[in-house]
Amino acid sequence: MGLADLLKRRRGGERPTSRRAPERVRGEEELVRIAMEDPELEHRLLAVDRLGSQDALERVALDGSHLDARLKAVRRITDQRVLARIMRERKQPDLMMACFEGIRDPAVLEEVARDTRQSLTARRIAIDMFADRDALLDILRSVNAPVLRRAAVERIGDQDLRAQLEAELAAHRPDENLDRILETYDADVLVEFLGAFRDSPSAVRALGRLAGRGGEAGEHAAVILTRLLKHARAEIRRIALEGLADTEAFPADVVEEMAGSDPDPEVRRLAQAALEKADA
Amino acid sequence: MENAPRPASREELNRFLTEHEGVDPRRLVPLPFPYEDWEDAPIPELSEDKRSRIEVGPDGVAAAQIKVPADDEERDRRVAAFLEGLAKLFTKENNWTFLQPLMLSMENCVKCQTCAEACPIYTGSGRMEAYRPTFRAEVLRKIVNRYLKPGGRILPGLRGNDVELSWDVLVSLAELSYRCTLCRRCAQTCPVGVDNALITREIRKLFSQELGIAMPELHETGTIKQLTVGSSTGLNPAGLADIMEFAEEDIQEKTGLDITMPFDVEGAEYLVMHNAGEFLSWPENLQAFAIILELAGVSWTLSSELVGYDSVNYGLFYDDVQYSRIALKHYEVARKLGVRKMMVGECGHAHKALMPIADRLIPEQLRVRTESCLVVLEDIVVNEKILLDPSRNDFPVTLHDPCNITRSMGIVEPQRKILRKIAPRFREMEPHGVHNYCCGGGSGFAICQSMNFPDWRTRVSGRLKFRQILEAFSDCIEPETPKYVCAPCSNCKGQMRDLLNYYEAWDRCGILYGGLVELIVNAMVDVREGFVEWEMH
Amino acid sequence: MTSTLVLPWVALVLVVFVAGSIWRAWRYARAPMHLRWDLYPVAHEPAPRRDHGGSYLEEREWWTRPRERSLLGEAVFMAEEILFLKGVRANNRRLWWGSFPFHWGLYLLVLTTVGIFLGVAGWRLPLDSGLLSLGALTGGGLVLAGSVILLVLRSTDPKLRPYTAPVDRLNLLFLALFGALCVGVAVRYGLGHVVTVLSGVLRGHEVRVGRLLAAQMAVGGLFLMYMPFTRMVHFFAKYFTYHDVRWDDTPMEPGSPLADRLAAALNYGVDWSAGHVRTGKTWAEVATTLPDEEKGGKA
Repeated sequence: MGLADLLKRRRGGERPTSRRAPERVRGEEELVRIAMEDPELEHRLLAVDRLGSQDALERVALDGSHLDARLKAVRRITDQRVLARIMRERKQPDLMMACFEGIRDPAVLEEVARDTRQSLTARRIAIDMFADRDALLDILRSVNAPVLRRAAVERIGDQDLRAQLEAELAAHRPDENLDRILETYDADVLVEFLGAFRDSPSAVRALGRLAGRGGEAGEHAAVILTRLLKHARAEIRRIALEGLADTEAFPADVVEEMAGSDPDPEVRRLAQAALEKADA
Repeated sequence: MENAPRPASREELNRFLTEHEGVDPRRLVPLPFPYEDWEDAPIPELSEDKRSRIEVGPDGVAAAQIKVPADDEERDRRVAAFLEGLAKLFTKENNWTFLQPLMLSMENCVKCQTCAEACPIYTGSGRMEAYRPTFRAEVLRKIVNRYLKPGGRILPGLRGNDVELSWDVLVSLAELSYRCTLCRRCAQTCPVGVDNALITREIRKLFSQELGIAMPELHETGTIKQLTVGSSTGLNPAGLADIMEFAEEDIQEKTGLDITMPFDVEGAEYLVMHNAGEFLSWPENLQAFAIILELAGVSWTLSSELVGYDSVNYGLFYDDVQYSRIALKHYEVARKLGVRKMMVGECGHAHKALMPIADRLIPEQLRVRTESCLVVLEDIVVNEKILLDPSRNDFPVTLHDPCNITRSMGIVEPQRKILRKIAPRFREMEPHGVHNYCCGGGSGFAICQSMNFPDWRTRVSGRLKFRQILEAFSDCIEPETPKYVCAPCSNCKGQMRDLLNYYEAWDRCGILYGGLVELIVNAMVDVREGFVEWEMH
Repeated sequence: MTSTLVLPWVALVLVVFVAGSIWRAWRYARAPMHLRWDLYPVAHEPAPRRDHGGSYLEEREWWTRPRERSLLGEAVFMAEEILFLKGVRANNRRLWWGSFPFHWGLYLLVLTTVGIFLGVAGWRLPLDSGLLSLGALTGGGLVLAGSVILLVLRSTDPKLRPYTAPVDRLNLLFLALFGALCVGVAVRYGLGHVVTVLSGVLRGHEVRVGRLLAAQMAVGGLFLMYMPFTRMVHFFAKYFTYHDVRWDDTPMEPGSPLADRLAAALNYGVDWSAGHVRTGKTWAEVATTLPDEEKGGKA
């Protein structure tokens, strides 16, 4: 223990909390402070119960130090736009669900769905909660988040339209730049970078092209592609397999195992075809 | 096994300077369960062919890759050049950058050896004399006192100025300056305020700026490459922008989010500066930043300009000239873009290079306010600007403190406030914060993958850190429980990767490493689950 | 010693000691502005940040907030270091057993010396109580004991022995001798006598200076004269290592005088010889341009 600690104690420790029970407190500011900061659970909840104004409840919901009081405050708020605002300003899962409990107005739900300042989850939930077809289609066209577009599509009642929209969403972006990139940059450097993006179909396709060219970079690309044959996603395994098909580094033993036991039928079919081609 | 042999006298001390005494793996500090029986193989010696071309340090390790001189004439010439450079180190014109701290440290060491036990390399090695913080400082001191001070050659034995300069001594001094990570734990404990890490850095600087000798990964393929190509990684700016399309697609497939990496957005709130090594080795780190900043509604941009997209500045470790050039370019880029602030990503030395050090270098007309990413992330996480579910991070997490961020800058709490919020099973290492142990990869060590230096780094300089990690996870060390070492620094992550691979820690204990932002994203409700992938990378 | 030598000797000692110390301090003080090299924890950071070694850089947009500095924090740190040698005690306990009494011995001797000079100047001091004698006795005894312990440690401890030059041992022996002489003077004459002798000398009286006192003044004077030229100046160099280096966290704000010092430094000429440097240019030129393109920027 040093001098500094001795001096600290002499100057005084923490600020004492109010020991006045909330039932005896009349002023709203004091009730707000108790609701936000009092260490006793009972005091906090009682203070929230006694708050009269929506503004005060909103303040507690936004800035309270304890989740229990904040949730209670949210459940006492009746203005649905205030609830939407709280969700936007404070992204906390329990708070968000409590806010949604109080939002029923489709117009407010639509505002939430369209508001880019809301969390994606809140927007998705809002989409899930209303079924206005025109609004859903509008959201589909205007939001720039695949997860929200998918959520909107899933709510479309018209099966044919839904199938069409799902097909559009599933189409991957074409590799317009792939040729140019492969021609422009040093293959060794490219392989290093592309190998880092294991979930990108375009990157894996590019690695396949590099593997086909051979050389040191090609060998390196082949090594990466071989590892990707065990990727969790079938699409990536398929692309990696296609990339390795005509190369000298074709890993026949791994592909044989895939042909027999890969969980995806298309992957098994491709693996078998690749083996037959290699034998031929 | 007892500690390494000690010199009995000053005469014997000099023997440790030039005679080859390799690291004895049996003397390394022992490790706890489940590594009590772990046996380290000796550090491999360089082949005869390599030894005929490259000098090694007194421990048989090569870091600076100093070429063997052709003949005695060249040796003598280099020794003379060293002395000329040593004199320049004490002039304000050539060394205004660190003259006062250097003078203070050189002239006031009372040789009490209080600093020694604070040094993780000295203690981790089993107390090898050549790694003692005062050892190399004292060698330099003796040379200065004997060859530069008036009357230095009078009664040198009486006054302790008993190092006779030779090419061998020079090589040892240069190499020993690369057996210190500049972590400055020694300086923290010195009762007088002497900084042996500073002296070490000045030795490196002297060799680089006068003789052109430096660790190649720092110089030729480090700062030189960065200044000419744009990045120490070798990818030019146009290539970077093209590569980003793959990164964006990768994010979309992995997380379900459509995130665009913004480049060269003029007037953005933040220019985010990443260590470009992240692009190659840990792209999930860059992606995590993009996800967090986009979903938090932060206005930000990257730069595709030469040097602008790579925050590294290895000059910080060994050369003021190179440091200045890169630091100035970083600020020029930010200024040109008209951003309001720079945000330094998860890289310890970039924090130090761009913030406190640059503060006394960058002229007013180029200044841009700079903040640590940790402070910005704290605001985002603690003030609930993104939706987080901590239960997604329900696994043991410990925090490695990068020396440059904590001990050299005092940024200690923000990262802890974040972890307390997003990692319900967070526990500290001991010691931590400003008293942390270096990962062993500091001052550029983590990027040196040549000669037998990586073998030294994993066995010696990283030893205490690995012990700390095991101790932090001692209650859940079984491999069935995946565990995460949070290391918010690129170089530290490089060292963690090498350490954990060397000790097979993923297989034996289920220990993985990664940055802080990856953990944040892993807890983000808006992101598909499983952002942290539990496999060694 | 005849009393005619006392005054010139004391004057010489004071001049050399003061001039030497000022010269050493001036060298440090006039060194150019250096790049920041702060080291945390920094004592003037306010609580609670100081408790975990935090800095103002932990604050969001720190430049918009007023900087708080705790002088009390600095004072407490310095007091703990000076009075208890806290760092050595925590990190090098064995050495502390010698260093602590040694330093306290010196503090007491300094206080005693101040008391002597005040007494010579005519201030009323409790000379009759023997306080000054006690100071010299205790101080001298502690210096003697501390020096001997340190000498033994530095001669036997394998961590210290290789880093101890013969001159360092001689230094400690010298200090031990000085401590012993202080004890001797306190016991033999008492400090009241010393004040009387010095007062008499100042007034031009012929006074007898005993051999023990003469030896103590000679040894003490020699010590004070060579001290400024050794690492024993760490007693004030510490001010610079802490305030000018590790606690120097002042940011360069617009209009700061540091900007002028930076401008001056950037105009210094660079003389380093390595190929990548551009010898002969100023720092500003070197930092803003690379070497010739033919060299490819290689060292």
